Parts: sequence; C-alpha cells; structure tokens
Amino acid sequence: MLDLLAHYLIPRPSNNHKAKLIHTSSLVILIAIFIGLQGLFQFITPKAGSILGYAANINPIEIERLTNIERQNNGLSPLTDNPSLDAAALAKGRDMLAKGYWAHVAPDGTQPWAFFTAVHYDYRYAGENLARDFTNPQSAVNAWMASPSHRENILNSKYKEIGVGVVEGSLDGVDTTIIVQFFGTKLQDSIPTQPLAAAKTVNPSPIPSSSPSPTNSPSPIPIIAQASPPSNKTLLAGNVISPFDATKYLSISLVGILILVVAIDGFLINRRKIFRIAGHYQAHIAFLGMIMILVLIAKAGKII
Amino acid sequence: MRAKHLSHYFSLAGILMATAIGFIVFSYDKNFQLALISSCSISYFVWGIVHHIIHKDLKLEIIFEYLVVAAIGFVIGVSVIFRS
Repeated sequence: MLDLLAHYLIPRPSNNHKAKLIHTSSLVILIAIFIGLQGLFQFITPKAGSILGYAANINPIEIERLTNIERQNNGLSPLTDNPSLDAAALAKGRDMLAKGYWAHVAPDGTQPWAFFTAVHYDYRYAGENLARDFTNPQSAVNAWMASPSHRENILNSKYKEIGVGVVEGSLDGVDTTIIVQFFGTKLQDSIPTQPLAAAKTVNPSPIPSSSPSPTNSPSPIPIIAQASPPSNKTLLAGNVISPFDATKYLSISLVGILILVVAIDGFLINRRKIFRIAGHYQAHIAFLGMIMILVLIAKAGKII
Repeated sequence: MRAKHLSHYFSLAGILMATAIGFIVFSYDKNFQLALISSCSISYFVWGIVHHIIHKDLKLEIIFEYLVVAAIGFVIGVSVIFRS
C-alpha cells in the first residue's frame, strides 16, 4: 500500500522518475473524474430535493437597512420602505420561479415595471436590482455595490422608496433564493421640472429605467396586507449542501494535492540531479497557485 | 531557475497577477471571469511552449503536459464560476 502511494506521489524508478499522479495520462483521468463529478451534481440536484441547493437566511428588512447605510455613507437620504413595492418585488420573485427565468424581462416579455403598476404604484422613477444564491444580505449588497450599474441604482438620488422581496424555490432544478430589490419614486412625490412626455430616459442600467406614469392623475396606493414580505424568515432547510460549496471544496482538494505533489516531485528531482523531459515545475506551481487563489476568493451569488 | 530565465517568469507572473486582479475587480461579472480564466489558461499553455522553444528543449511530451495542466486550471475555474 505504501509502495503504491509512493509510486503515485514521489519520483522513483517505478514511475520513470516522475510522480505517477502528475503524469499526463493521470492528469487526463483527473480531469475526466472532475467533469464526471460535476455532471453527477447536475444530474442528482433536481432529484436530491433538499440535499443540494443554496441555503440562505435573507431578511428583506436587513437588505433595506444595508442599502440605506450605503446611501447614507454616500451622503444620500435613506429610502423609505413601501409595502406596495415590497409586494411588487415579491410578485416579481414568484413570477421568476413560476416561469423559470433569471432575467429582468420575463420570457413572455413582461417588463419589471408591470409589477409596479400591478400594485397601483404610479411611479415617476423606477429601478430594479436582482440577486440570487447569496447566503446572507451583506454579501448580496456588497456584490451590488461592486457592480457600477447596480451601485448606480442604490445610490440614485431620484429614488425615494424601496421594496424588497425574497423568494425561495427551484430554478433550473436547483433550490435557490432570489432577492428582488425595487426602487421607486411616486408620481406625486416628485416635482416635475419638465413635461412628463420628455422624462422617459433618465436612468439606464441594469434595468434602472424611469418612465412617466401611465396616468396623469395617480390613483391612491392600496396597501396589500397579505403581500408584505416575511420579516424574519429562515429560508430553506439548514442541511442543504450548496453545489457551489461542494465544487469549491473538491477544487481546493484537487489543486492542493497537485501543488503538493508537483512541489515534492520538483524538489526531489533537483536534489537528485536527475535530468528528464518535462515542463518546469515552478511554472506549474505558479499557475495552479493562481487557480487556488481564484477558487478561494470565489463567492456564491449572482446579480443582474 | 537561472537568472537569465527570470524575464520569462516575470511575463508569466504578469499573466497570473492580471488574471487574479481582474477576477477580484470584476467579481460581479461572471462572463468576464469566464473570459479571464479562458485567456489565462490559453496564455499559460502558449507561455510554456514559447518558453521551451526559446530554450530549445520543446518535446511533444512537454506540449501535452502544459496542455493538461492548463486544462485542469480551466475546468476547475469554469466549474467554480458556473456554480457560484
């Protein structure tokens, strides 16, 4: 057993003075196994129920609080929570799960602004940020702030109100958590400085657009009590294994072992002054080390 | 590593550092991260070949070795980005 282990990890005559694990043929097999495991994750995820997925503990109120902290840090007034916007954001999240899409515009062409008007929120300015698969509110807000277009939405002085909806469900066969952040300014809250017809393009990206309200006489905004988002809900079961974490730990293990074996192999070959036809082990260590850094700094969560 | 090889390694260090910095700065853009990891893997493969051509010791085994090491990095990088 020890002999076999040494054959795979240490350069010696039995492996032609190169650790068997880093022979080209072995590396090809490792790649095939890694891809096979990824395929297995993909295959078992939809059938695994609550085994594989993205567990999260996202509190919509916390998202709003962190958003307002960012605004205040940048000298802007905090946004006010609007229950209608909360309801609209929740409806957008549920629509994404029901229709199975991850985009600002639904496959049937439904624009984000349709959810504003559905709750009778007559807006002058409106914007939307989306996030999924984040494990906590802070990481989602950090990701938005790192993206210029999402940051622009959060720090837009034209917005006065905010609504956040957090939904859980299956998207592409994976249990996930989606955060929908809606920004808005009611028609009656703004003082038009120009004709409404000319106020169409104020605010681009990521879908932060603004357009005039469809009506000049805004109707009162009804409060939809049952549509208020959960205030303090733990989403998904606590024993869910994230496909991201599984891939991350697998990658760290594989790259770590390879770096170790290449380093030991290079050290022993140098010390024994053995000449062999091979690539430079220092270069391989540098490249694999960089891959290790990328894997370590990678974080779960997507934003659009 | 001889002193005269250092300039070659500086170019490799530049490629790897640019990739790592780009990965951090554009953490919000998964497509850009995918482009980065692809470019880095290809660059590493090309760097290995050019390096051994300059040293006049390029063999087919060495080409395959750099190819599979670059492929491992690419597959792992893409998988992590895809799952994130």
